[in-house]
Amino acid sequence: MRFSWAVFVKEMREARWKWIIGGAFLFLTGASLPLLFPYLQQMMQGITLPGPWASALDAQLRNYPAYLWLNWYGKNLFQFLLVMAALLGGSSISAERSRGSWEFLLAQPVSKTAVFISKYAAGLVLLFAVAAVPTVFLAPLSRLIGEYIQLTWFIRGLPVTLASASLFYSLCWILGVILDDSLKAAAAGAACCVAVLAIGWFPALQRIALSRHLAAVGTMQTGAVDWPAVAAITLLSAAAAGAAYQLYRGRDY
Amino acid sequence: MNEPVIEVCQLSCVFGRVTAVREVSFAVPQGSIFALVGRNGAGKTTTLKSLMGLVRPASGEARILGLDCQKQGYRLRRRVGYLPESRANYAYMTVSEVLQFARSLHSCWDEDWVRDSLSEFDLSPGKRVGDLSAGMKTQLGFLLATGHRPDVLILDEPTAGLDPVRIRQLLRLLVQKTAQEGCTILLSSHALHHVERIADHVAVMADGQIETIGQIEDLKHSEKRIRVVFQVDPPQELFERDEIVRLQRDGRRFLVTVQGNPERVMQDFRRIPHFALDLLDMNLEEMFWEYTGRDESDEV
Amino acid sequence: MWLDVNPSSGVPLYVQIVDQIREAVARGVLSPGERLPSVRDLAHQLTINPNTAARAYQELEKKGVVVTRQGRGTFVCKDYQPRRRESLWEGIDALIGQLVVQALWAQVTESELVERVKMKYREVKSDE
Repeated sequence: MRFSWAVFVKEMREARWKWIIGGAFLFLTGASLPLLFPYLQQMMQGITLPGPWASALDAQLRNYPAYLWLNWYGKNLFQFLLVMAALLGGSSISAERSRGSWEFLLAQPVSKTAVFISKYAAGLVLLFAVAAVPTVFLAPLSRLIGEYIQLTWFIRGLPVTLASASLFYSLCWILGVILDDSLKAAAAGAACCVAVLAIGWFPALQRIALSRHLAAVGTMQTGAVDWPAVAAITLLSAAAAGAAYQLYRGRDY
Repeated sequence: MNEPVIEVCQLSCVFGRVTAVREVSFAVPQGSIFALVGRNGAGKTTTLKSLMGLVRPASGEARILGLDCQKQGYRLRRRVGYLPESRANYAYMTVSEVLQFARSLHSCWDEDWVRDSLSEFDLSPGKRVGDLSAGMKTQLGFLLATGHRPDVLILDEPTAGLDPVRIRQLLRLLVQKTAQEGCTILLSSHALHHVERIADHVAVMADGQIETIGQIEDLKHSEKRIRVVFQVDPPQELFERDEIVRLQRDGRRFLVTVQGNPERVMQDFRRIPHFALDLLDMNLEEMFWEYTGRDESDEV
Repeated sequence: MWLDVNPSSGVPLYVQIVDQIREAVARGVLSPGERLPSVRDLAHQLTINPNTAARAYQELEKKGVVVTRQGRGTFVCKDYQPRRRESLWEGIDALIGQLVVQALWAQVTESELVERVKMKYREVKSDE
């Protein structure tokens, strides 16, 4: 038995407030992007910003698809994924430990591997679902303000974004396995988050910066999915998950 | 009947520099109730955890129903019920939700037993687990351990947090489990008087080792006390014998604990002029103190 | 149930049950041919280990106090003759021992003690 539906369903239930609140927040902030666009255009008329910002903003305000992409993938979804991945990945095992339900769960007729896989899968499915649904929904929402974006173009950012999110999620799993306390795991997740962002600040490291892939910057520039990057990041994510599994099996429970 | 269901052989568990369990061996026969008693920190919980595969032993072996506790844990857990030391469980779930979750993990579930026990325990199914009292959590844990009609029950401090009425109720359910279903029970307790009523085998643990082990009735026979009041000061050699394991003195009054046959010691005592000479049965509680509380109990 | 066991006593539980049932038979509380509770019921009523209850019945059977008929239960033997003197003296001797010790401490002489015992015996007997 490599998978347990019962554990999977329980995990989904357990995280229900995380995804209800997180999803609602993401949806509302996402919806605000197209709805605020006309007002933003009006507001910025007559205001001149200094130097590089002016041209960047100007480009966004004249080009609705670019505005939406940069704000959605670069800001709203980006922040949401970092927080959710840290919460879901870091707390999965450590929460069971810190609240004392671990011994009960492991005394049930479920293999330890099945517990790991079911928990990992539940978090990942949640993360993907809550990220993907509002992304798709942004296209019809744009029609409301008379703008048009092509859905098949817009969702091209998802593969690399979700792969990057899964790598970050797997890294947080390692923390959640090592640490006994969900609060500590959350703190360590935040630290991990800062580390990931920090790499993106160095221009020389752009190609390997997870934050850049998470924001799907490359995909917007070329207009095509960067499949080698997706594959590489997915492999790394699998490796991190494997490491988390090894650490998990090596520990006393 | 006497085929051991649980076999523990030279089991040792080490955490860092601390040896929590040191070369522990015991066997629990089918259908018996085996009590592991000892003070807190004696290594009882670690022993039980290693049987459930929750702790990796440094050396030694443990088998339940012929299955290796470390390697065949998955198959084993279908037939073993476990009441863990931590009763916290999923605080956000209600009683019926936790039971439903446990049920979904097991291939067989005794609905009637769970329903009847719930009402006997006065556990309301709609109550959140986090709001239950310590005793209720223990009762819920007991239900979760027994719902799938296990062949073997491993209970860590099953009487902890329960009032005397609830203790009696739980003990009666345990007796019912063995009498009607032939369930084999291994339980731990720091309070011997809670379990000596129902246990037929007992092992006393201290500092990670088993100090004494056997059938309760035999243990009661194995040690006796002699109370003697001499008329004169007795010679010191009188007490220098292997059978005498403990000597308490107050003037010419002596309380002598003897292991094995006390008759020869009695004979020697009789030769000295004395006011009184009695052979006393020793209860288990006293023996328990003898093994575990040496430092504190130097009374008389 | 009229049986009353004390698990904390130094006397093994099964011995307590054996003694009490023998005493009950000797006093006529249990009549010959009367049926005793099953091992399971006895264990449940007293909240004791079923093995302990079974051991008590085995012991009673060995002593010829009860007989177990397959599938029908355990009964008091019809022809059981309580050997009253032997079995009951065990308990009385222990009590006399304690009595004598107490008397010695209180510096009561032998004849005084014997006299008191005689008095008590007559007193209790006339009450019956």
